[in-house]
Amino acid sequence: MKAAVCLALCLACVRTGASQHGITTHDEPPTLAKAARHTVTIRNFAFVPVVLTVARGDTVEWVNQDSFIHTTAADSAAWSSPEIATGHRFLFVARQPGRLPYHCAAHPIMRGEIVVQ
Amino acid sequence: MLCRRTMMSLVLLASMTASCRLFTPVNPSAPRTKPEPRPAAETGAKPEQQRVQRPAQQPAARAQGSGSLADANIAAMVLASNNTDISYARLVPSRAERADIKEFAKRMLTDHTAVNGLLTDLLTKLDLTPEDNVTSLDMRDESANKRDLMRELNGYAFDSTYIENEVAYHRKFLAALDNVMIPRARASELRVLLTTVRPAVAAHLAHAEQVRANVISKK
Repeated sequence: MKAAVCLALCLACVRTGASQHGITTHDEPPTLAKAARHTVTIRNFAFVPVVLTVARGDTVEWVNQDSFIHTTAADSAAWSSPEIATGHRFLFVARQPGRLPYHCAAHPIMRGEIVVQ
Repeated sequence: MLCRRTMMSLVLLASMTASCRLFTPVNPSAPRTKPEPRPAAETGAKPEQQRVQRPAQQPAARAQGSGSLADANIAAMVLASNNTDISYARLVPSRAERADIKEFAKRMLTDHTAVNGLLTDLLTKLDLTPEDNVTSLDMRDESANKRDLMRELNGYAFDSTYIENEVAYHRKFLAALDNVMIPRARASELRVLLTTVRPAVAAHLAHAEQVRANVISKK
């Protein structure tokens, strides 16, 4: 019974995009075995790498290694993270092919692009 | 350690309070040690109703000049710079018209407060007390003068003056980091902190220039 409650709570957190241990998910993790996870590091007021190419179904994770709060938000509104504090991360699953330019809502001069193939 | 950290916090708090409240009028013909006007708090009190004296050691800091720049002086300069921009940002909510100006100011409050936090932690670790010099005192003079000017403005006049000032302020801060603070910092950890702060100031400058362009184009 206790285990079932824990499982339900975990699933609820994933589904609602709740932050757990500094991780915020925008979507459910991919279930495809081949899906990969790519990391964009946020440091010195820049996204590194600036342009990241991924396959459909892959997960992109932004990790804030800067000393300041940042966000990641697609220009197209495909995703929009809450504020990502230092040491925290945000996940997004790339489902639609195309070019997805994005920016930091707090510092609009910070820009990057996800290319989904 | 806890006691030392508490004392350091008190020193920093006093320094921040001084940055925000203690200023000398910008008047080239006036002696620099003259009692200074304290900007009115955001309560509506007139500036001339609030006057305070600089602490006694500050004339000596004036005389010291920037020739013998120590880490303690650099710390005071960073604090003065940060507190200057925080004080500008605090004028915005009640005077600005444009949403992008309000957003920008909110970000300045957050980021410059974060820099102060980083510096506070480092000063505690290094057991270093900020010490004013002529540069940090001049920064306060200048910021007081500009706050007095902006306090009288509203709407577009405020927005354009504020953002123009933000461009100039961040340009000056960046130059100070590049030409004075980073090259002359002795403690490696202070140099690392200043190097960490630099991209923030550069980003703020670019952001301010962007907002300024929008303000001018949509006059």
